[in-house]
Amino acid sequence: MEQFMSEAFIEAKSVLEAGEVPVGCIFLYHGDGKNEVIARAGNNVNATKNATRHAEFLCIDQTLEFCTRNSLSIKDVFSKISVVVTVEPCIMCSAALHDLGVKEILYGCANDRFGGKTLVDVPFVTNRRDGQTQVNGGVCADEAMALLKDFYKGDNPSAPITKTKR
Amino acid sequence: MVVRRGGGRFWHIMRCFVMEDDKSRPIKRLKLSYNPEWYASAILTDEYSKEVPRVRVYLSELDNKRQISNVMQELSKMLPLEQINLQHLKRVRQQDILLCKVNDLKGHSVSQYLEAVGLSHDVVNLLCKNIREGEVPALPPLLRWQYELAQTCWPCKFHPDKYMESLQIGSIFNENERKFHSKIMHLLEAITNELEHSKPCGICIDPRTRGVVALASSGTSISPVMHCPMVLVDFVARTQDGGAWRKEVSHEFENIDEDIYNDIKVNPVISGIPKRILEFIRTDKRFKDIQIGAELPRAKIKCEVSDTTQNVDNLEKYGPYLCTGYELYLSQEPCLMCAMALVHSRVRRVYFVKRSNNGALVTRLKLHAVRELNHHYEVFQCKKIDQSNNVMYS
Repeated sequence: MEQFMSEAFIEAKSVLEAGEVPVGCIFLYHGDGKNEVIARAGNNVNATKNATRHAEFLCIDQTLEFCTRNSLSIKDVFSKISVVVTVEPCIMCSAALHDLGVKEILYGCANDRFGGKTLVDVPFVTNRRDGQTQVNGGVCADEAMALLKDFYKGDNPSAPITKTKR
Repeated sequence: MVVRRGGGRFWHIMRCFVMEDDKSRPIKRLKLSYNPEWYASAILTDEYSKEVPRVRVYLSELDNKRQISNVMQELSKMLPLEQINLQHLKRVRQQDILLCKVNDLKGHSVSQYLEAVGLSHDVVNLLCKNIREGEVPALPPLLRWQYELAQTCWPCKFHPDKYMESLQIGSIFNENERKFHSKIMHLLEAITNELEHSKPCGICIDPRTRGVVALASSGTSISPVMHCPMVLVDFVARTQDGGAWRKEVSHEFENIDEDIYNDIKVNPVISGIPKRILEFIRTDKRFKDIQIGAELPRAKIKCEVSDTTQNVDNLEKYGPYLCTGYELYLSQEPCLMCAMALVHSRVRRVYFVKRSNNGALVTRLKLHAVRELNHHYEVFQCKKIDQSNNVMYS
């Protein structure tokens, strides 16, 4: 999986220049006996002015296009997808991925501010307790954390200039 | 009309009584309105909506009250309530003195424990003469009703929080604001039922101008993640020259002639409202006083670092940024994905009508009660009330 994680890192680094939080994600589709990356993206919040445009959501949209293009069932495709993402999906993304019934989520470093696994029992709240979505973290965690730390030294160009720190 | 939660039937009966028996006094007639009013009930986090938890403690009953001053001086010096995290309590009730938490003893006897913290032998003897276990409130009561209940258990200190009290008893909104809720709820109902075939719908309001910033319905026929709130925040993004699902919803925004809406615009930007909904609001007599439009995003201004004002209204100060300062009216309680999307979008308030079986604001979770998050909005459930102030449940 390290190989796919490095692809996710490429996506994370590619959005740094746009001032995005460097999170990258790829969707790996296990269909017809082969593994295929069918979606890849980094965060895209600043350009869209939409705080929900996390890498995972861009990949979800790309996957829906993939289904349409290939006349495949959405439900079936998502059940054969491994999500590889550099940072633990936030509560919103985790809920969406559980709802869509992806096969597994593999993430780099944990996210104790927003993390779906860290803060909330997502399978319980989303009524998806059949345990079909496996969630595991810690793949290249140090590298993922270093990337984030680097970023947070800088400024978020889209945020209003903040009030004084508490 | 004053809305009193739970007291509706009582007031109704009182009015009937007055009408029959006191004909000499002019009776103020109830305003008969054919539109039911709406009532927004705050969904508070558990620390405000549940009884204060209790903790087991040791209490010492002294033989007479004169001994209290003898022991109190040492006790408050060597084992102050702050030290055992019970500073919200009074130490004494009549002849009972609060000693310590049962769980703090860790296998020692009460007298061993008291001597270990440094009380003199005489005082320990006095205190240990008649010891029993009891329960006291483990945390400070935050609201008056919690205080009154807690008092029945052990005397507490209480610092009322006016704002939280008003949220709890529903006095936070004045008549004018309640009328506005009703107006928006009527619009939401009409759009849900007459235009959107009962699909979940939502309206985003700028509370400063009371203008409709964006209006959206669920797009789950296009994509399984295009729940109503997700579409709504994307429509808000459109008013800031953003928006991610432009291709997917392009048919909703074709050929809008902005000028024909000048009569109902409070703010210049109407790109967050689909064309047929704009048309509906403009032409339907019921909604002639609904105003539309969002403020344009402003150019970046630098604020002085020295500005330490608390509770600054960031929307007022910086202009539109995501959903900062905006209030959302939703026909359904949002799911976890959507509830978190609204946290990311920095929404100020969420009003919803119906509960959802996977709802994340009250049904399965109160997401706004998760302290670790970097933003917290207020949550209200909107309920219809009939002429006699009874809450109508759907």
